[in-house]
Amino acid sequence: MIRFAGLGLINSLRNLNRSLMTLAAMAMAGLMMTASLSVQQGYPAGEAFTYRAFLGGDILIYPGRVVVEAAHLSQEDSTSWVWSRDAGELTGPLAYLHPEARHPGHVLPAGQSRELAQSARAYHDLIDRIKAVPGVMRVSPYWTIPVPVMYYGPPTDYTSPRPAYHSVLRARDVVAETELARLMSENELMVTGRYFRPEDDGQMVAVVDAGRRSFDGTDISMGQVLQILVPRPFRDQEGRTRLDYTRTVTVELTVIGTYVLPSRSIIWEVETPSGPATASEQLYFVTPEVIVPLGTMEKIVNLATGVTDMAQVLSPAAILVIVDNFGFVEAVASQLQEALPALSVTSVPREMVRTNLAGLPERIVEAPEDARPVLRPEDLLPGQWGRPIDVSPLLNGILFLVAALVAATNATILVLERRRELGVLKAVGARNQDIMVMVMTEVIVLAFTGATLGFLLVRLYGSAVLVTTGTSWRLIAQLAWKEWIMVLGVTGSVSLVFSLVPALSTLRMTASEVLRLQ
Amino acid sequence: MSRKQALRLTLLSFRNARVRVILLAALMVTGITGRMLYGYFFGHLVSQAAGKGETHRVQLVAILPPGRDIQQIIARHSARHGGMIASINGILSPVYTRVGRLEVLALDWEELTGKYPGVLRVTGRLPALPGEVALPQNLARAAGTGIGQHFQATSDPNLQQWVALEVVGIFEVNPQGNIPPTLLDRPLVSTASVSGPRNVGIVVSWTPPPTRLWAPGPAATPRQLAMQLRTMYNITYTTATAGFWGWDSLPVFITGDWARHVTTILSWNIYAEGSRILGVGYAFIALGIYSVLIIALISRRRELAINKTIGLSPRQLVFVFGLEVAAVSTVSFAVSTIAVSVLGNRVASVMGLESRVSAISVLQTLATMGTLVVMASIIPLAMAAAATVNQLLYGQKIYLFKRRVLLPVDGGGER
Repeated sequence: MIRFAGLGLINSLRNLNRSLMTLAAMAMAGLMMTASLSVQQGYPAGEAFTYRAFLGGDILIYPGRVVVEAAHLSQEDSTSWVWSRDAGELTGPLAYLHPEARHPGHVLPAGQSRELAQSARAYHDLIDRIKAVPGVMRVSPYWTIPVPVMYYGPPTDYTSPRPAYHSVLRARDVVAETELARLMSENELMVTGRYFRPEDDGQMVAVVDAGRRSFDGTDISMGQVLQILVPRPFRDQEGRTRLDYTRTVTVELTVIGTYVLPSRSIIWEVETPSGPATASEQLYFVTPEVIVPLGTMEKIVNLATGVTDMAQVLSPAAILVIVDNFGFVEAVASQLQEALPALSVTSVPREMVRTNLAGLPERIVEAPEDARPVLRPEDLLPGQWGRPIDVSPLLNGILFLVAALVAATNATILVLERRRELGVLKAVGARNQDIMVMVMTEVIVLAFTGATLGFLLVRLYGSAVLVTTGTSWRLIAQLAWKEWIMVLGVTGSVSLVFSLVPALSTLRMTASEVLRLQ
Repeated sequence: MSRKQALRLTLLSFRNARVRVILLAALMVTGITGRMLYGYFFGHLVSQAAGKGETHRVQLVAILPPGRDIQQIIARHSARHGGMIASINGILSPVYTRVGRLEVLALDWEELTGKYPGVLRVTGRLPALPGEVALPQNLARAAGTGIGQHFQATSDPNLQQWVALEVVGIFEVNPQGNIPPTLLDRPLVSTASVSGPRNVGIVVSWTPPPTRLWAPGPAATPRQLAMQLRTMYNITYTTATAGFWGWDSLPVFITGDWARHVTTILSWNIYAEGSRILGVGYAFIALGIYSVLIIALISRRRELAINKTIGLSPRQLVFVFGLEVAAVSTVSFAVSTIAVSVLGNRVASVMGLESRVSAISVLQTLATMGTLVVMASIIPLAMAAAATVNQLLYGQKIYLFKRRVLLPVDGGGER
């Protein structure tokens, strides 16, 4: 029997030229399967790094349903999902990346408030549930309080008119979070002064965006003092966070640095007298935030309310999740979404692709309309986004079916073309199972070779992504091995099953019948 | 050979090639199913979901950034384009309160409730005088205030000059109302309480002049009117500042098409992904049909050789072969249409949508698959036509194009 298997192997190599079609089909099937298994799980290490560093994590968790899923549209009871438009102020990622939450609003389940947690206990439970998801390294809540800034300027010059404006106080964990500090130092993004150091935690210091000047002329620099009015936060009877602006505490923060965040650029062609030339615009992610260390924010909230746990009176605007390995960020995001069905979970890179396509979050000034990377102009009307339906299992199934049929046709060609050879083998004493082994070996070799080719094409890219995220070679090899076995198993078994019919039909004939047919 | 003979020959060849026919049929079914799923199922989902949006249709609401006056814009539009636009205009402005920084809405409440009775369920009354306010139930509860009591608010960013507004009513928004309910879900004041240009407009009726209904790019629906207002008066959606400065600088036109908008983007995502994957699927299908026809050719060498010997011309052979392919394709198409209808019914019922197959999508599918079949059949059919009797009988290679063979002869000439 082994001899016949060897014969099948030799045949498959000898007829490789003719079997190219099967190889191609199997390679495509293997490619699609590997792609659905590995490539969509993550990104290279540097993907959307500026946004990730500023937001403070790799995965965003929004309160409420920011993204609509197809199933939501099928609700029988039309009143269970209603159009909702926030009367209160939106801050944080929702304000920058989903301005449509304010105008014209979102479709949300009736009665659901846009709140991550309605009590301190619910908040800590939520954090614990997020941490329990495999692949989550750290959780970083996006704490914000909208505040009026009463004064900014030199610390001694309080007599000048008060240039009040509205801003947002935001906390960053300067001890645990090093990403933004690294981004700032590596790219020299501090315009004046410096970024936070761990020892700044709890100090009355702040870092602000220097890009504000181009928006409203607010010109803040290092050494200046910000005098802000912090409202008293509290939770109402329903557990929603409210801010009491009738009872405020005045806080003075010293600006230790100002920064800019160049996030992306737009390139387009212009006609000049000397011919076509390339023009570009550097875009900056500008926010109104006054960033303070987490310890400082806790101190300020304590001053305003007397509580030590901020979650007792506040809910974060969003939650950022830092994953162990960025190469698996999409896989972790899917698990988080499953664990938190009432919230919206999305990876930052995916969110930024979508957001950038809608012309957000940066202001585009110079680039002409047709050079702006936006969707159709009418899509610029703000609107809620839909999560694409995952049709890949269905389509992969169709692809596998077609690949299997191609394998079956190849097996048919194989036995049809070699009827005389098979007849001779039968005449000299080969049993049906021997011939079956020979044919099946050829089918399997082709299926495995094709599937491996497709697998390698995709997996090499996937492995390169993992290398950039610092994944160990051992883990990369383990993953590749697991996926390879899976791809080979599916393609091999599908080919075997579909090739049995034509092979058996030939085997049913006797040697004389086979030879006579020729 | 007559047409009748060709048909008989085709029927005979069917009987001799069951496996091949089954394979070809299966490939066709698969291909058409994919096409139908793409064009019918996804497209259908989008159009139906958009249709659902129609049931939520509301009047056009425009919210402008500070400094822009809705009255002026609508008056200019009416003067320039004719038609009638009736709107209720008001002011939406941010204020600091004891329950957060909120938008207060100032409208002519008498006019609004006259046009849309039942949109608000009010205990007490709506504000009519300066210094009065009506609060949504949840806000009144959070602020710990009631009718006859005061609600403090200020628009001064220094939080110095507070105004004590008298609560004259507490209300619930009727979700079945025609005005986007949550636009009203905020403190409501009288127009006399707030100063500044009117930056909110609710278009209650819009009658385009008849001439514009067939003019290019006319605004005949609230959504089109919104688009026209936005583009004509250069009220661009200033994206970056939208997130940055909150409501202060966000110009928006809201129409009842919000659900349509959601599903437009939903469909955009689905189509982008689906077309990419199905592009690969089409390549597969073409490959499959090609390989089936090649088998048909190989397995019928002897039969083809006899046909050629008895005098069938290449054109007649192509006709017989082509007829066979056409017959199988037609049967497969019918089977797959039924299969997809059954599958589509089940999927649509799960999603709460109604299943329908439009004649256009069936014709589109037929055309796509027809093109694929023709493309995949060209080479095998040409091979069958070009083969000589010897090549067919003795298993020699078949060349699509005649090869010139150069033979060296004495004297170095060519033959």
